[in-house]
Amino acid sequence: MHIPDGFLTTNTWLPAWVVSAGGIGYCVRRTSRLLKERMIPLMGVMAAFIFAAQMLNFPVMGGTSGHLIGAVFAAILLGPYAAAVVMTVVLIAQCLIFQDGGLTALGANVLNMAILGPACGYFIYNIIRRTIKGNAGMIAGAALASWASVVIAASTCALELSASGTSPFPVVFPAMVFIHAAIGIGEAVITCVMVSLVLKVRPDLIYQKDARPFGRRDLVFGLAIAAILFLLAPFASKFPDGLERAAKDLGFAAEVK
Amino acid sequence: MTEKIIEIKGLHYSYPDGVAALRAIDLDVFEGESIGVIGPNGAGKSTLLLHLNGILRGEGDVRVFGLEMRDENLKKIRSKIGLVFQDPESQLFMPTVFDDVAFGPINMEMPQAKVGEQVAKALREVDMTGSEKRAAHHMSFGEKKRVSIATVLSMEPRVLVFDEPTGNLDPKHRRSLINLLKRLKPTKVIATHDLDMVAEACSRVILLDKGEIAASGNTADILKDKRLLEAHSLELPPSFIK
Amino acid sequence: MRHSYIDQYSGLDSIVARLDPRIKIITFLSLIIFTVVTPASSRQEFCLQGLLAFAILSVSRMPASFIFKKSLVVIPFVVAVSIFNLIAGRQTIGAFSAIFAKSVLSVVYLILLVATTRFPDLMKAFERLKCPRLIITILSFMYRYVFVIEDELMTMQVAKESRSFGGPALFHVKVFSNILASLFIRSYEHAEEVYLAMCARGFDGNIRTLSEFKLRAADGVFLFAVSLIMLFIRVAGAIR
Repeated sequence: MHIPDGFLTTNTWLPAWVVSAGGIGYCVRRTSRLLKERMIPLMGVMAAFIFAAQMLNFPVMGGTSGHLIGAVFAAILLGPYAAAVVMTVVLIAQCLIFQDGGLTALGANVLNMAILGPACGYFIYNIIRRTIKGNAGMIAGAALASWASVVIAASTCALELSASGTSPFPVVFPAMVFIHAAIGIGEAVITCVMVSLVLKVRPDLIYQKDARPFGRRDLVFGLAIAAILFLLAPFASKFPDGLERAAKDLGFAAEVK
Repeated sequence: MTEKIIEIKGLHYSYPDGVAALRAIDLDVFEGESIGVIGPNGAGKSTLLLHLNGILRGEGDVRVFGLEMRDENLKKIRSKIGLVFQDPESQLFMPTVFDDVAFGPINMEMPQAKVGEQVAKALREVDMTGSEKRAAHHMSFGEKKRVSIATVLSMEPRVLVFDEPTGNLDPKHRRSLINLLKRLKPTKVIATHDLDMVAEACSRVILLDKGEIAASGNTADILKDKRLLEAHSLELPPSFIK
Repeated sequence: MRHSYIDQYSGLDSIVARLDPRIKIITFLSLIIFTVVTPASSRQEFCLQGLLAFAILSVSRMPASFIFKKSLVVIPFVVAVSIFNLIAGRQTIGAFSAIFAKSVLSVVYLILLVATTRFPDLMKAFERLKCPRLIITILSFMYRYVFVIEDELMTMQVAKESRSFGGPALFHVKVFSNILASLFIRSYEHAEEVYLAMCARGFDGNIRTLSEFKLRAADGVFLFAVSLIMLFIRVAGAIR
């Protein structure tokens, strides 16, 4: 899902860079204000942990393999802001060390996998955690949230690809969502088991700041995410290379049949 | 008489879960001496060391160079007490040896040129000259131990505090580390299970058990006392068996 | 244990390796952006850019096979996207080969930047180029501790392998997750001790490092030459 350079046109990667830089800048400020300097080594080690875990493949059905993404796991332990910073660092490292994901595409990759995916995931986790009390709520929340984070990251990725005219929306969107709905199950199972073990051994490590009833701030947060998605939509349709072209292609495909 | 540089009176410390870790500790450290802190696992040795530079703060009176252990004195105290952790993976946290050895001096706000000098000097003292650009993950365990010591030497501390300096080292590297310890000039406090090393490098011994000082005195007197050692899960060091 | 996937060729001495890391970042970043914004139709521009990349590659003395092997990383993505496009029945060979060329060229530039620079120098250079300090600090912790964690992981996996034979896949996923979780807890506890070690050496929330970068004439020449060539390629593409 790491988009390489060249797959996004400037009217996609540049806005994505701007939005991501703003978002991460905000998260960096929030993290530095909210948390003590004690968090710095913890975030560093968390980044190293996720980086190492992502290199590890586990068997999925049918001989294929997948790996943990870990964004929601990070958010459950460090809170959403620190998690976004940690995931950004992991993406930067993968880009530099393995060339997994491009430099111009980094903005889009950060937006998908470090900001939108985990933020939506955390939002879902928090709602479930507050509705179902106790460990069961946390574990169920973790499962659904990590599945959702993968699917959301995949769908924004598809959106960006189609906005660049690289791949037609009617194909890339359902394909990406469908594939990642399956991959997300693995993510959900692993996150689930990991969170329940942490709850058993070191329950004090779970991030508790947002464990309060649903409030106005959550509404603002939800609206903010909706606004970002809304902002993404126009540049998906602004230029002829994007959705329009895809629609034309679909018509073409129908004709062939 | 030599100067009393660390003064601990009636120190108590309990872990967050309420278990008492240190009880009624009285300890004076004098300039230039070398103290071995021995005792079974879980006796509170490491906990005691963490009180010497205010990372942990229990009840009781701890004074370092006459300074009370208070927030405003911490920076000064930490620049005078160099604490080397047992695990070099914790002691070395920066990307390169240079950055790691320079970490303390930079935090002490030394001028840039001085930092470079201090790093070179500290690395020379531990025989690691020329390793400035190396990364910890490319070094052997023995080398990491040496660089760990350099990271505090660069701050020119008055007291060096070691937690298990010879742990996990093979005989050859253990030997060269003991020689290094003996060579270092500042006052030393060494927590360890390695009684042979204590016999060689320490002038005075504190025996801790269950958070209390069970015995203290001259190195030879304590290490010879078979009954005392065995009562506290230790055994006579081989060099004392005749 | 020795880990070689980072810094494999950072000991290699060459004109490119000796350049100031800041200049290298600026140069290769501009090269990548330049490549990415090249119009898809202009084929000879891609050829010229390929020549430029090859020239830098030979000056850097990096083995071409290494670069080639590493640049294969884009292949899965290329395949996935071309399958999507095939399903859509879209005629894309021309446009798609441009995308492919762009991504391969960018990856080669990125490899040249990263492989000729020590990772710690690269991080310092990014910091001097005003990247947020928190990000760089966490990145350097990650660089330091990923090896420690991998070693622990290896030990745990060996311990697991020596006790498990066969079993259903779901069971394996569960064991795998449990290993990851205990690895995480260990790492977390390690981080707590690292924090204490930092405090013991006067850490006050800010990590400061010294920069020993100095710009030399060669850095200016390199940046100037590459910019000139980029300009030439663009002009050659435009007047066609």
